[in-house]
Amino acid sequence: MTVVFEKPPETPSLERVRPVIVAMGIAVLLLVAILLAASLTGMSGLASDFQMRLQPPSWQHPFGTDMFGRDVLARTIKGLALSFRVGFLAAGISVVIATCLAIAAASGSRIADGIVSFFIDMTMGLPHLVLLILISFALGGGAAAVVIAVAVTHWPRLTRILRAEILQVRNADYVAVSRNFGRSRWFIARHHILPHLVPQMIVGFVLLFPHAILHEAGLTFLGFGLEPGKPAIGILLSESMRYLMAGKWWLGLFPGLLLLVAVLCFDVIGNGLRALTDPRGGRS
Amino acid sequence: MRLEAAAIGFGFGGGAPVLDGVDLALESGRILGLTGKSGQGKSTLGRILARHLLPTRGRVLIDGAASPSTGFNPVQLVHQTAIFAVNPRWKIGRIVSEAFAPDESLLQAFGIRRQWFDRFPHELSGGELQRVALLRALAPGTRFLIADEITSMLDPIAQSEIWHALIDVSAKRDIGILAISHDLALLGRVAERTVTL
Repeated sequence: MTVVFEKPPETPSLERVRPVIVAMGIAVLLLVAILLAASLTGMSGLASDFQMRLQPPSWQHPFGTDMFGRDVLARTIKGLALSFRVGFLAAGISVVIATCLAIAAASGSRIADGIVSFFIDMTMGLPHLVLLILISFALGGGAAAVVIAVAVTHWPRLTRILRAEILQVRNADYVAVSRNFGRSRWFIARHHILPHLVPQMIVGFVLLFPHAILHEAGLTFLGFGLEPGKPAIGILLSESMRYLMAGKWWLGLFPGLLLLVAVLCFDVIGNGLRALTDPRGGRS
Repeated sequence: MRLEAAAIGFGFGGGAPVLDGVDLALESGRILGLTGKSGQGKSTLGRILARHLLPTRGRVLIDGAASPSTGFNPVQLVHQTAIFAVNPRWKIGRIVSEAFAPDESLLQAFGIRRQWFDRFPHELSGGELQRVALLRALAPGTRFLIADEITSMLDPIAQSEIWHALIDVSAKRDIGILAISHDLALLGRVAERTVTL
């Protein structure tokens, strides 16, 4: 009989983390560009200049100009900064809601668990975009409405993950041992359970962030999100629709491309972080 | 002190009972052996005695009174796989200090080195981790120790060292030990009496 031992592939981890490193690099560049542009360009790029309207990309205006002669690059970066703020807030609130509901569901009360599970199923069962539009519309639109709409529709998946994690750790042998040493429920929650939740919360936040940005842009594009005067990506894309048929491709292409790159980067980073925190990921 | 299981009954998920009316008594300072076929409920009984599980019937008594439901439990449990009994994110020093701060003589008795205190559980061998789990269970308030197959995965030398240390501690500190094992030869050596479940 011949027994063959397969040698594990060399440096598999580097191959796996390379896309994450690249995505992190691009994300950092985007963040720096947003921060710098906010201070460098100020409002100058956003001012109208009718002599420069609908200019194609050039050295002076790399992303071209729009129908009012405003610099598309400056407006795109301003729009991304706004999207990032909305996304950051919405994802943060979602994580807080998910954590509170997961703790309530896994606290030991069957009624609380039943209620939370019902709300999870209900929220996940309803069409996502319809719910977002309804909430944003009911709240009268604007940045606050978009943040609330995105936050209250994005918690179910993370709640399920956190609830399962809490239940698993709560029933672990070392928690029973800690209880036997006379440790309080607060001590167990703070020192044994919470440290296991933090990585899931971080991964959840990073994965929710691109979703939130995308939904903010979607809502704004459909007219239920941010106010028309604001340089949001959704508004830039919405405005570009009228000019695309006239061959003014730069109005939609560059804002859309930058939004796609930003969303893709944070999605890759989130999935990379999830693979890092998942013990099974090490063997795959 | 006397640890008693009075008419203990237990079944998982409302199924057929694993334990049905089990009575057992353990005096402090004594070592009692517990054996039986697989699935008879030896480990379940051990977990119930140490309050890791609650019985569906019957009571666990310490000196005739119900065992305390909060605070330090004088009945501690150590089982076969120590890796599940320790928080994987904690270093050994923190794991031990969750129970108490052991003195050098106890560390030496169980062959534990201070250098291990700076390591994570996965950085110790199974035998080393089992010694740590035993040390932690022997906090000053411990009066009874449920030792569930604690040395079945160790080599004979480590097995002998650990049991010698345990017998010594039991005699010095008047700790009662319930030794659960399939190894009748081992129980014959360490236990004063062995009961079959």
